[in-house]
Amino acid sequence: MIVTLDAFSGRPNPSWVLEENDRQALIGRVAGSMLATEASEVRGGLGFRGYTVSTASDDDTAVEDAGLPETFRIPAAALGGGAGFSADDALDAARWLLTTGHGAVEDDVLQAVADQMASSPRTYSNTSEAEDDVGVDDLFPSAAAACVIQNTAYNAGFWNAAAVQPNNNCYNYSMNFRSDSFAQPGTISGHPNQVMQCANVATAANWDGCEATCSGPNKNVALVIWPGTDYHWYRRHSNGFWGHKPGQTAARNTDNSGKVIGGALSPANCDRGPYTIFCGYRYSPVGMKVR
Amino acid sequence: MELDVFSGRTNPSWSLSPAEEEELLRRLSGLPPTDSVPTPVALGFRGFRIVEPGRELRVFGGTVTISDNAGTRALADTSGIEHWLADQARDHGYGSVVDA
Repeated sequence: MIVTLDAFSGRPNPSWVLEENDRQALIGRVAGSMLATEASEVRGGLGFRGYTVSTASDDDTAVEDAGLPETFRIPAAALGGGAGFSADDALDAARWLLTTGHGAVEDDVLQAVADQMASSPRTYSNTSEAEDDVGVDDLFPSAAAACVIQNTAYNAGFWNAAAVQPNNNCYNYSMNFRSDSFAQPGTISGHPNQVMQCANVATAANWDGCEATCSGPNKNVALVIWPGTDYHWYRRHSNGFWGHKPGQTAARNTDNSGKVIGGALSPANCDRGPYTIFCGYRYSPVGMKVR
Repeated sequence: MELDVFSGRTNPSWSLSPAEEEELLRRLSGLPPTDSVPTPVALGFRGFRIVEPGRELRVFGGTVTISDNAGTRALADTSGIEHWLADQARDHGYGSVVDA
């Protein structure tokens, strides 16, 4: 689930991916009320105008299950209250959602939006938190970074939909992020790569966040190379096998010989056609974005 | 004209010249229908894809598959379209890819 803070005028609005617990918390806050709206019209002038929330990965079915649209807005105007929620509910949700952007949005931006919310005519009347002067560092504590493997269930249907399949490649699939840009390692982090060798592609992906070591919630991925020509990625699923998406073709869990890449078969020893070099296994953080 | 081969990188593509378009039409003329439609492998060379106004052609494994408003039908590549396109790919610098 991707949250976009609608606040800028010239620069692109910042966005970030919610952690699993935050995703569930947001759904719990907005489901069943009119706090979340499908309205595409954006009201408001300069400054904080609300949030846009959208699904971007094949394992994000919780939104649909909760009866929410795939993309919805939480407008700043909601801070005045509405159907199914009070002004305090709305302000509380907006302030909480802002805290999930810590690390993804500059501190001064977070502070400015927090200040704007604090200056809202709606005030807390029943809170014990008394956040009259909220420092950004107080918004939430830093978390420990123990490695937690969170491989998701195989969901080829998401990637093989007509609107998705031609525009997302092996990198999109393995990092589990639909960018519709045929993502390339290094692009989103500003370190694009043109050299089709293990070290170069791995380094570019490392810049994007896909590392050789695991810290926090991650999924298992693997990189292989067609020397001097191309690269390919695999992603492990909780079902016990590996999936992949060769370019524009359909996502699948079988190798070039038609065998399921599981059990004794892995990206290291399955039939990979001309992708003869196995570079190794890596870790892709849950929520990692690519472009 | 697209060479369907890569997984990470974007597939190579080029435009057919007017003469090449005429040659393609000539080679497509009279091809017999076939029930044999080979399935490309996942990784590696998967054939050629030609996008024209109103239709799309895929050439692979001795078969030409045409998709348009009338549906999808397969023709036997008895006029060497795939070999002809492979030569084009080599001329455009992709010999190492089609010959892998």
